[in-house]
Amino acid sequence: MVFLEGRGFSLPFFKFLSIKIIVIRTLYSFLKKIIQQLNLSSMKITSIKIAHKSIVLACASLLFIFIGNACEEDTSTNDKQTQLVGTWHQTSRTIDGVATTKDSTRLAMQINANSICILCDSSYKAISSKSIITRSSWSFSGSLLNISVDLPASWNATVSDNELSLERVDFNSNGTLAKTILEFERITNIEIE
Amino acid sequence: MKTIHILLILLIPLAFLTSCQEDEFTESSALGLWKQVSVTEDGVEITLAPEQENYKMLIDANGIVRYYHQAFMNYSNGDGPTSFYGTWSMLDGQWINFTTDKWKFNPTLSSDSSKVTLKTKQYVIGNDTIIGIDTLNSVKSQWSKYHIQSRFTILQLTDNVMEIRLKTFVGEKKYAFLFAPDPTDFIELKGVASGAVNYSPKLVTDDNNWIIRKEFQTLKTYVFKFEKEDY
Repeated sequence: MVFLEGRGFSLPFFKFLSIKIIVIRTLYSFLKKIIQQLNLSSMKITSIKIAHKSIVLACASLLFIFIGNACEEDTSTNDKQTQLVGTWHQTSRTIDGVATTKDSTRLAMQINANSICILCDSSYKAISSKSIITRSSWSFSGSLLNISVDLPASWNATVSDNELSLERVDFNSNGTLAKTILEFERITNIEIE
Repeated sequence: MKTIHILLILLIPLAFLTSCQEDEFTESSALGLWKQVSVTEDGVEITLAPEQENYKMLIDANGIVRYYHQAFMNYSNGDGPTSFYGTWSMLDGQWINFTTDKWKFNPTLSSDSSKVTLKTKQYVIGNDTIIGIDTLNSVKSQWSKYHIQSRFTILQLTDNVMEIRLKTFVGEKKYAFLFAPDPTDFIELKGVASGAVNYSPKLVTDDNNWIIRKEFQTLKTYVFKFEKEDY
């Protein structure tokens, strides 16, 4: 069952299971032929047919169990994804636990349900250069929030109704990892054109 | 008898499903920060340059891998690039794929003398003007950069150790960031636009052309060993 861990219910697994069912069916046909050749009673053939039906039923039951388990994880991911949608205002930034100036590239961030997010930089520099808006796509899987303008780095997101915490690590020039944490609070949705 | 049959029916698929799991490595075990501790070439340990020794790899769950090495750190007056990236995936729990930057070797030879064609430009020194090799434009025409995927066989993957094997051409390994490049195989590109890639494999001349060409025709087996680091 380790095969299924962390993967949900994947296409390769369906293929894997199908192969097993085919193997069992082939074995059944092979046994049936042997019994027919040995001229055994039809009683035994009927027993094998019943066994075959039971195998199919057993596999089907297992299939439903796996599908049931696999869907739980997706639901949790979808819940978080839904919570992420909205407009967020940055309240703090820390690097390796030390409070530092806010990340001006996203003083406000609007995450839309259509997989587009809008990053707002309302600093004087951005306003004077008329570049306050950056549009990007986003996706969420597991606990990782991928914002395309930030890739290859992704954010480990912790979200509740009103608070959002984004954490990422990056290599320093000396090879150590620096941990950046951005804290946001939910604000009323703003309309950005 | 019927109960035994039912038990057998339930156990057979279970046996099929779990029969191979012992030999498979899981994606979750590969996640994290790994430091390269050794590289062997056909079983012989390679002596790594100091810039290669501090090689690290950060494998994320979203399929992205970030690499760190110091081979180009001294470029741009000590402000050279140290962080690079690619993608990773695992196949059937047996192989791990990494994409890395790679350079294709394509120098041109003059048809009459079979000598490596080099671009030239004028240099003004004092009152004199001389014609010399235009290194920047020469290497740009001799090497073309792209991205490749390399498939490694996983030999060992535990909570602390990852050991992977790749059979490839010597030239592919050298000029494909597998993993930390040797600084002597690369040069700094001076005069490139701000933000552009300022490193490239070295200039191909008549002296090293056949050596490099041979490297792209020699197959060797490499084993890379990494240890996990906390962060």
